[in-house]
Amino acid sequence: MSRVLSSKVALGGWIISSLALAAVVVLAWASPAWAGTTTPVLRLAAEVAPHDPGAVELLATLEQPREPVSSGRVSLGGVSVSFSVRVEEFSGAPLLALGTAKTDAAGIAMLTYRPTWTGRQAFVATATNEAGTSLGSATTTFIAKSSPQSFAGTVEAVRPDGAIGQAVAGVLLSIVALIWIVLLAVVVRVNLGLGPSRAAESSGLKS
Amino acid sequence: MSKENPSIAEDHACDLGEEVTEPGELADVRASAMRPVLETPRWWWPAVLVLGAIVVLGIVAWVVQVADGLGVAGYNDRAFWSIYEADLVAFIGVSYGGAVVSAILRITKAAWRAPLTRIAEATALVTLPVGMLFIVPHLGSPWKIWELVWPPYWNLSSPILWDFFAVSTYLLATAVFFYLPLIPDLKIAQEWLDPNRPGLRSRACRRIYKALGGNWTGSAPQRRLLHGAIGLVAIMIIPMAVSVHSVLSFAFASSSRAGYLETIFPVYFVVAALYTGVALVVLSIAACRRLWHLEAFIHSRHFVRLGFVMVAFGAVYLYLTFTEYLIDGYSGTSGNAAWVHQVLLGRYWIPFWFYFVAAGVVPIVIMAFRRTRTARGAVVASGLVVFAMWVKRLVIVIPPATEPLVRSPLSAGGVLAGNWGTYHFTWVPISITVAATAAIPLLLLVLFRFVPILPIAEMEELAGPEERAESVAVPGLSSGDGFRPAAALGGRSLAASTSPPSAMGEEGGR
Repeated sequence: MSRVLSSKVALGGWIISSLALAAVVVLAWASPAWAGTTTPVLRLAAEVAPHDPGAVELLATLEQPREPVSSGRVSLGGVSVSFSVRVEEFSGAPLLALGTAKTDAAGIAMLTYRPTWTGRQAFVATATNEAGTSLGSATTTFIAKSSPQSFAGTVEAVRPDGAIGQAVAGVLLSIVALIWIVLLAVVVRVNLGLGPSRAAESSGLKS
Repeated sequence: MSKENPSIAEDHACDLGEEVTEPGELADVRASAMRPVLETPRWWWPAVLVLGAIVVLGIVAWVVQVADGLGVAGYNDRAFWSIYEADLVAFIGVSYGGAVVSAILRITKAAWRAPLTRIAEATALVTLPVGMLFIVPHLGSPWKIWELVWPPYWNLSSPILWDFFAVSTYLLATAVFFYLPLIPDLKIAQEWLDPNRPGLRSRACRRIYKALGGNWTGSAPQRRLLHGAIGLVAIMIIPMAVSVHSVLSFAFASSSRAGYLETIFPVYFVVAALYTGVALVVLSIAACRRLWHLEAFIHSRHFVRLGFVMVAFGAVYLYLTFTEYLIDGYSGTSGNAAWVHQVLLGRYWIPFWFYFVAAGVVPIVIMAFRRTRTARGAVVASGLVVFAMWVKRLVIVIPPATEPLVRSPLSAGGVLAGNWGTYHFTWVPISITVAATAAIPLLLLVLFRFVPILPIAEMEELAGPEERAESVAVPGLSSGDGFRPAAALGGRSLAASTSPPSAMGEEGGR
């Protein structure tokens, strides 16, 4: 009885092990990372633009796959790289497209972007080949310190106050001026009262 | 003191760890008031250097911010107001306590105010400019500030412009209110300061005393003139204090954001200012009392009374807080409901409930029980109030500034669809805030190197027989209260002061 039971357990073990192995093989085939990198690797760097401290230079570099593919070296030039920045204004932190650039022969695509806000920002680059297949994506963060360029438009002129507004402002300014005058007058009056002549007068009166 | 009046000595035995003053040691008001001017304690220079270094660090941080922009202070598009606005409100707020408390006590002729007024008014005087300075980092571009207040660039419709008018006017009033009671004391200080005493500071003191002290003789006409002037400014300063913080609140209340658009804000801000202001006065008085050994003049009773005033304001503030959140939450409009939820239960619940416990409940509990209703208890409560109310200012400023304004078009009610912004504290604003905090004791340490720390003439005058009778008639200071003006002066009459000769005038000195 026990021998039958142990053979069933062994059989079950073999079946489970085989299924697990098959799953690993399938997953490894499905995921290039697991099976070895056979597609180009995308890297993204963000630096302050050399000629414009207020801008950031996004540099996406497409590198040869770590493991050679059967067709030989992969062409790195002419790949479309789209850049985007993660925005937190909306739920899910979606990506806001910044622009697209083609890689050169060395696999480098560059986009200069001027942040519209300061602080930490997350940039994402996605490479897509001509067939529209994604070759991978990369992220990087950058802390924008310089303030965005000054507002280039025209500032709306201050709307003129209406008659009531002008009257209120005038009355309030008059009150402020009156308070200043009273306070300064108090100081002047006290100091005049403590002047030499008054002091002598008061001393004389007292004596 | 204890030998001359043991009952009073026991009654006012301090509970801050100091020994009760030995007889004749510190009971002379003139000697005690002039001690900070005439003597340099061992701790003075180290304290000034440490505080000065902290202030320099803050200035460095501000320079970094000017160079790199407000982003280094943690500001961003969705947290456009934060710590500097909270600092501005908090520091200007705490300056009220000194001036207003002193003004109210003068108007009501509360005799027990005597040893407290100089420290309270000095605290107000040094805190207000420090608070005003926060408008500089707040605005970001210091070279453009003049455009804010200079015609034709100014905008008379902007609350910020009226903030400038209100605060600068209040600063002038505070300076005058500090100066006027100082006049007789400057004459006394002039006589106490040895004319042959060498040193730059002594020369500066002599010039200041001569320039500002006038020809005070203490004659009856001069005293009438001075009392009238002080009374007028005391009356003026109370509505001014109310108006200043009301105007400060308009910068928030006149916007359209949920959490800022509150009609209760002017009153809310004024009460908060008085609450924290009294708390800072308690802390200042406790520090001065310990550092310059003023135990003979400032007693537990003073702290307890100020503690009562403080928690009275605290209770009103709690009520106003309850009212604000109840009505905003009850209205149920999208923006208000989301803001109230975030403050009470959401991402800001920790700072809000910290305020509620530390500045709302604990101070009242401390002052409610006899066992904790002591000088030490009042100081602990005041420390909690000052810090927790600063946190509360952050809770007032940051949540509405980070509120998402994007509404979902799919919802008829306009449910918020965006994310809340986040303000990240960085070393820059923290350094500037700490530097401003350090600047207050630093300025007080320096100020009291030049002016008497106690209002000598006022204390001696209140110790006089006529004034004593008058003060006993003041409600709350009846004989049944067990408090006598002489007790406020350390249990002995100070009219008959020791050498040098009295400068209070003919009536006091002859």
